[in-house]
Amino acid sequence: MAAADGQNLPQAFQEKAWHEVVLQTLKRNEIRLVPYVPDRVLTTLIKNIHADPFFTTFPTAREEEAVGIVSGAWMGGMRGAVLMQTSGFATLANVLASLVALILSPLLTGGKAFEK
Amino acid sequence: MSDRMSTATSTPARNTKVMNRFDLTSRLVARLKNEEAVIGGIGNTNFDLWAAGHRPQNFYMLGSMGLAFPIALGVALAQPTRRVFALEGDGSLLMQLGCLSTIATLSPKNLTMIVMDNGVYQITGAQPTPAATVADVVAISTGCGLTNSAWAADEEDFERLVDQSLSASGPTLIAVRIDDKPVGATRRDPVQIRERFMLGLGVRQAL
Repeated sequence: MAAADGQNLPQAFQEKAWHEVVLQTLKRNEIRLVPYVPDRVLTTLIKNIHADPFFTTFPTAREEEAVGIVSGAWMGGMRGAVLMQTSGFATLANVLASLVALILSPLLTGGKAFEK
Repeated sequence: MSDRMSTATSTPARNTKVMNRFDLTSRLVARLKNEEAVIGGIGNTNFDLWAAGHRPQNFYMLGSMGLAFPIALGVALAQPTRRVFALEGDGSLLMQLGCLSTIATLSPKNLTMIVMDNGVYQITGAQPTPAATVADVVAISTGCGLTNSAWAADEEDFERLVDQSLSASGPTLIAVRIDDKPVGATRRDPVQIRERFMLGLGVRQAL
């Protein structure tokens, strides 16, 4: 979240917690499939996504497994996003180069977000 | 060569014939009548799929070793009314064993996984995998919660297991012991492969 200080966000977003903004943005963009490897700062977001029947969400053993799943789903017509922590992102070099970049599938990755 | 074969024949799978991967892939493709999706894993697994006759619903994975099953899971979740097959090598599966329990937990009805087990990294010079002489793919899969997991005893048994999976109430894993004879190579244009696949799945419309 580049704008963690809220300076450049629309008024409506400034009144919401970051995880609400993320959840609503996923919904607004029809992103239903959310596999994740958890991070402590993602706890509330993961809990709320589980509680919302709009989403299909589940943990995976590794982050690259989750990237494979959302790539397959995207080719099948379903949008997805992967939640992970920064150390998980660091394990993705090969899959980003040899699957995501190779087939040019769109991928949204979220880094660590900090509570204010 | 003799070392390689002794490795292949000393895998713990019992009462299973050593079959040919291209023959098995051809047998699978011949049984597909309903635009089933097929994800071919890296290397010879997708070379065989290509050589068995291109279908618009085939996806040939050129990189990302170990992700054929996760990609197939994604397709299966996105299109629950379409049957999805995934072909993966034993060495590739070893890279991503965790995906078996993820698949068992989600339990998609429309996913059939086939593991081509020759105990070697065939494409890099047939070096034995670290599991070659000790591990049993079906025991691993069953232990991960995929209760519909079986070794195919021979070609007819393979076809029977494939047919059975078409009406299974949960995901199926079929392991086959294979020889080390490669057949060729897939034409390598990843964007075209992806675009054709999406066209084949009805996600894209032809121009």
